[in-house]
Amino acid sequence: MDENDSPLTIDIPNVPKHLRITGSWVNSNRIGIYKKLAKGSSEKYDPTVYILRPDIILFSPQLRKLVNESNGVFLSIQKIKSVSGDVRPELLKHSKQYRSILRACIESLQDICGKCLSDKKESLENFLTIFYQIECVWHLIEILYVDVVPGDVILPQLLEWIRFHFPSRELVAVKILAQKTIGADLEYPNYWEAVIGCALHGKLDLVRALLALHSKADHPAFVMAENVLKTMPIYNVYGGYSIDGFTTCWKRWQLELCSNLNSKAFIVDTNLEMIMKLIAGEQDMLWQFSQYTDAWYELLAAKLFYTSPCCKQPELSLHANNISKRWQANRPSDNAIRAVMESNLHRVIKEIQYMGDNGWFAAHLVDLLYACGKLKILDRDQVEVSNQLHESLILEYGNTLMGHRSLWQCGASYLIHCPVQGLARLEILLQSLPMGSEARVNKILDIARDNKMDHIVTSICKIQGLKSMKQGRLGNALAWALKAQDSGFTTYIADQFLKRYAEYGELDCRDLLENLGFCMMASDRLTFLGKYCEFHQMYSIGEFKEAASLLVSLLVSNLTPKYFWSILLSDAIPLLEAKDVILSSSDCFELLRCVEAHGDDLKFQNKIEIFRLAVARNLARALSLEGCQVEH
Amino acid sequence: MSENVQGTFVSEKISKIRWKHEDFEDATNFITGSWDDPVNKVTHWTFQMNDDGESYPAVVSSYAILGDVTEIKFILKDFFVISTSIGTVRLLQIHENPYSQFKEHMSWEFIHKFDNTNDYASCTGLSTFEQDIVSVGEDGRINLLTAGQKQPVRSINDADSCSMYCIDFLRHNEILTGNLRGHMKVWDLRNDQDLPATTFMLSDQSKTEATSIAHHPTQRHIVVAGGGDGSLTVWDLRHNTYPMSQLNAHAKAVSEILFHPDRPENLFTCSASGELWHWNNTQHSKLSLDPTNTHWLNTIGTNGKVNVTSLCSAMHKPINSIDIDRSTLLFGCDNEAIYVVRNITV
Amino acid sequence: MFEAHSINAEHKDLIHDIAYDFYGQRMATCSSDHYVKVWDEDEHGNWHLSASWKAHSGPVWKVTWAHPEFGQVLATCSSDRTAAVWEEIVGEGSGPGERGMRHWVRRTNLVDSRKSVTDVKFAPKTLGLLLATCSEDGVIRIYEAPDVMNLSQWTLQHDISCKLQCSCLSWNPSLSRLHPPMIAVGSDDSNPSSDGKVFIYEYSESSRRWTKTQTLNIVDPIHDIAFAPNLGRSFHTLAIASKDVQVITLKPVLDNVQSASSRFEINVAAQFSDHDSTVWRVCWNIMGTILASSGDDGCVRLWKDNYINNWKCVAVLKGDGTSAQSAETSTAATPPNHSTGIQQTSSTTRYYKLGSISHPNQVPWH
Repeated sequence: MDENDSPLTIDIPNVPKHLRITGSWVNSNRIGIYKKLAKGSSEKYDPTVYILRPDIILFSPQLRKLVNESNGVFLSIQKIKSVSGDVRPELLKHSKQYRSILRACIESLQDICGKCLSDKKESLENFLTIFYQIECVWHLIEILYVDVVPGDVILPQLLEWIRFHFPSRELVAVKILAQKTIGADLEYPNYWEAVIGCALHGKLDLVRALLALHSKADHPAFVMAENVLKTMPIYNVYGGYSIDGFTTCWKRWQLELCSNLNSKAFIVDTNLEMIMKLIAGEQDMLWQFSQYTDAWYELLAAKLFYTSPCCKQPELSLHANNISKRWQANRPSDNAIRAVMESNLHRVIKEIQYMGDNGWFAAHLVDLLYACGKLKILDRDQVEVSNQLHESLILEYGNTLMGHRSLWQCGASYLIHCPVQGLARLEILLQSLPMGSEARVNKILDIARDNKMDHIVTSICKIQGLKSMKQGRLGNALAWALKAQDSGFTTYIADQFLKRYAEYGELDCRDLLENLGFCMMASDRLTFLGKYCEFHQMYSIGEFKEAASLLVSLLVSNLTPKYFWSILLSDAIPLLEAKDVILSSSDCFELLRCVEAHGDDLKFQNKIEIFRLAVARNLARALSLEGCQVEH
Repeated sequence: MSENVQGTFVSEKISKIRWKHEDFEDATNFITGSWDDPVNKVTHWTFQMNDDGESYPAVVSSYAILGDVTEIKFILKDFFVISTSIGTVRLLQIHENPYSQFKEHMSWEFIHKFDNTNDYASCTGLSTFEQDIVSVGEDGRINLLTAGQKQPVRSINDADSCSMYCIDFLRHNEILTGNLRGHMKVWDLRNDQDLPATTFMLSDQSKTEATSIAHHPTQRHIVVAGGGDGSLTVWDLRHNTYPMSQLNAHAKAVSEILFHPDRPENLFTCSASGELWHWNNTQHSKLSLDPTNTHWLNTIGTNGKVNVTSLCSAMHKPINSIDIDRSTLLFGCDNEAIYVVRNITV
Repeated sequence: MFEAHSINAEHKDLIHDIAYDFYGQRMATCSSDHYVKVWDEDEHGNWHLSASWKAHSGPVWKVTWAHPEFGQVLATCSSDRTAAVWEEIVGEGSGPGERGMRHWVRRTNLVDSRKSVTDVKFAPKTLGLLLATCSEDGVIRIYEAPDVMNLSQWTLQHDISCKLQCSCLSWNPSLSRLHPPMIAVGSDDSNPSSDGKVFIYEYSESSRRWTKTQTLNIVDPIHDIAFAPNLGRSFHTLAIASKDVQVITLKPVLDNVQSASSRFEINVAAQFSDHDSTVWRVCWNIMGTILASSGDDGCVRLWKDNYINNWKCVAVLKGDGTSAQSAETSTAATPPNHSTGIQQTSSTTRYYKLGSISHPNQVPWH
């Protein structure tokens, strides 16, 4: 999004520098590279082709759980979007679900990481860092954008966020407290670190409990500290105070603490005094304690807690900026968190795309914010482009998944929810999915049908039909042609059956042809084939009357292919010569008309005389029979 | 999703899921097969307790399979047969000693193939009767195998002009197959001619594929088949091949039909539309003993006597396979998860 | 991180073109050695040579696949003044090894050109089975197979003279019926005085003719052009390789009165001279979301636009300067040899992991 981003450079091994190379796309994210010697190059030509593709971490087995589970949450959010009324509580629930999926992913990564060998460990640790940071950023965004903070005073939530993500010192504190030994400061070398850590996180109850275990806990300084901590006013929206009322009260308390500090009331213990200075809101002390923090936002929370407890979201930006600048924080997650606090969503989205998760975070987060109505992105001309941004991130993510041999169904469900370009892309990608077994093809077809892409269904079925033909499975090819509802193709296959019959005298796939039902109407040629097959069926079971009437109806139908006339006419001969008269005089006239019109086929020349004779004899028999019938 | 449904994401799409039934106790182990990855797996699962005292599925061992797993059927307590989309059938055993693993006892390679191009064809399904195995494939071929013999006992090469999708052993010498066009064929295996004894249609109206077949556990002549359009059709093969009842059920293809082995008045179906339904006729179960021999399945669709309940809210991806042991049902889905549904009232 | 597979394509001379089928599973290569080769990828990403034949009596410039609905069909063009259509068939013979053998047969030889045929492309399938060629004699020829199931009968439907020698052509792949069939043609004529070297031709259903409806005012020699899939947009996107890379959008002017003014509203969406030298090829990925350009600077550059249609370079692919054969050989499992009838010369496939992303501000490819 920024102009100063530099492109990624990929070095291809075994290719001399500056040798002319050409790139040609394999599909949506693989590219083939081949060499083209520059003019006048004397080197021997190397005909190697390189196929490059990005390594997508989401395709690793450990992360596919995250991909699939979050897909469920995403689809559930799409349903909520169409519901009217206040959907915020529902969306908050979904945000928490996303985070719990992330936590589960992190936990399982930690599990595997502990068990695996060093070569894989590195990449697993890399995944851990990525998803740990994502969860941390997501949590903050949930607090500031998705959740409704009562009274807009955000400190309690911020503290909760910090405590959740940096639990180590509190864990130490709890461990020390569990022992209940007086003189804990002497027992545990990390005693003060725990106290300071808890103080930075605003865990005053823990601080007090720890101080009570100090070897000098009975000293007046410690007693006074306990008193100060006990009486520290903590803002609570539901506490009955207005913010102003609370501020007056809190300032008074702070003033008293400052005067105590000035009178050196805590000098008996340097650490204690330093902590009390922190609590009194001394800026310098905050930075002295920065060594006990892992991230700048830990320090930020402490600063707010002791200097600006009623801080509202708009004021957060200034504090965040000051602290992060002085801290010199520069990881993508630092930048993202700063941008979140600055309410600069555009920047947040940019930063989170650098987190190396192949777009999972950006797509899901932006979609959630979009559903919350919190996404408002303006371009340079102050035109709102939130819709475009939202769609582009989901498209990209869906595309990425469609590139995987197995995750395409998951990918498709993202594309479907992109109103502008989603279906157009899905169309292209669905058609380019390698087909494989018919079970897989049927699942691809299901998605095409769900989205009313009839032409895609037709195309895929036709390709399946061609494949079957190549495999010599004409019956199966016909079945797919019928599914394709492509009458041209159906005709072509029906022709193949008839031509084979013309050549070998055998009708293939009788089990299929005899059970076509109304599908026989899919094309004229198929109708002819089906009826001709029926004729054989009737003939073979001795239903000559039925067979003859089918044959005559075929002859008069105008459906007969040119090359098939000689066969139809030949088929009539045994019926004409049958012991019983089964062809009527009018049938005979039809036969004569047909032989006049179509009997010139070379293959029929040796039979034409027999045919005429047979018709004449049959006509004579039929006329006399019909004459008798009229008389009676 | 309701309280009694527990999902586990397994990082591969599940094509088949089967309990390893125990004789006198609840089953605790099951087998899954996956599809659509370059290399797929057959996995043996058991249940373990986590820290919260919840029982959850855990992998015991797994076995790499080339091609998609298209069917899994147990033939003995710990012996099972699998089929794959590259035309092979394998007989595997869950081996416990010295450590849990799969042991391959027999492998019938390349028994489904296209003769013209010499390419493998997908073996789409298999059915077993004691030691006998019969498989069908996209090549329209029926293979008769027996567990102890490397060579197929018999192959009916041109059994069907179209791809066959499903098969069921009705009796030890009779099988029923279904194909892409919804043609159902009964084959009498005592007959040497490679022709079906009877052919009938899944549906006269729509030419949809037959995707699954199941027979009633005690009245094997009662057969239910599912269609690519989500329909269910019931036949009593003693009388004729005219369906006893036919109804539009699921929104998409029926992936599997399952009678409860001990309580056959309960039927379960799952579908590519992500639905999982329980058909129950407990209060009318006596109907099956009625002298007129009207089976309860005959009544589905015609009146409201059968309860149909959804066992879970519709999944957003196809459910491919189900299996039940007593009151615990398993199902596997294209969202790369397996689910356990407990305490089903049967 | 990136993964690279290398395939020794076994050509004895320069490879001029590579084309991948619709699924990205088959690769056709053509070369100065007069040969065309077809490679198939297995489930494990290994490529195997499945056919190799002498296709022309001169260097083969281009190779292209037809839509799979027409079967397994290739078209090639060559300096021998011909273009050819090839179909893969499965042997039905009964001789030993004959059955199941796949091989490519020449279905037609298109010999109308008087000079080297420089490009050949199948039309979008909605138009039927149509093939366009262009050649150094400055003629664009459109051939049609009226019966799509019969690839041996082609008729020359149109020959359109564009006066300048042609180097490249591209069909507009848009599937919409809202606009007529469209072809863009480029000329590598080196005379800088002419008006422009990219021509847009459109087919009029009423007059049954192709007419030049637009000339783009680029006077440098054009080496390659490519339309991107439309994706439901209101404009067409055309990439042009010349002395630089350009992405042009053409928006049909919705004016029924055919005024003398332009048919299209033309915008240069992007113009990059990063290659700092001649650009020889442009290629879109199947969705038309990323453009690859290949230049004389030894780089392949990938370009992408963002949600507000800002184009930028997202990756540069180039040689690392080594030539040692130190790469690790692929260890991927190979499937059982199921196609015993097919010659399966295993290619020397190699597998690499390329360096990780180091720059923090690199634009994600995706």
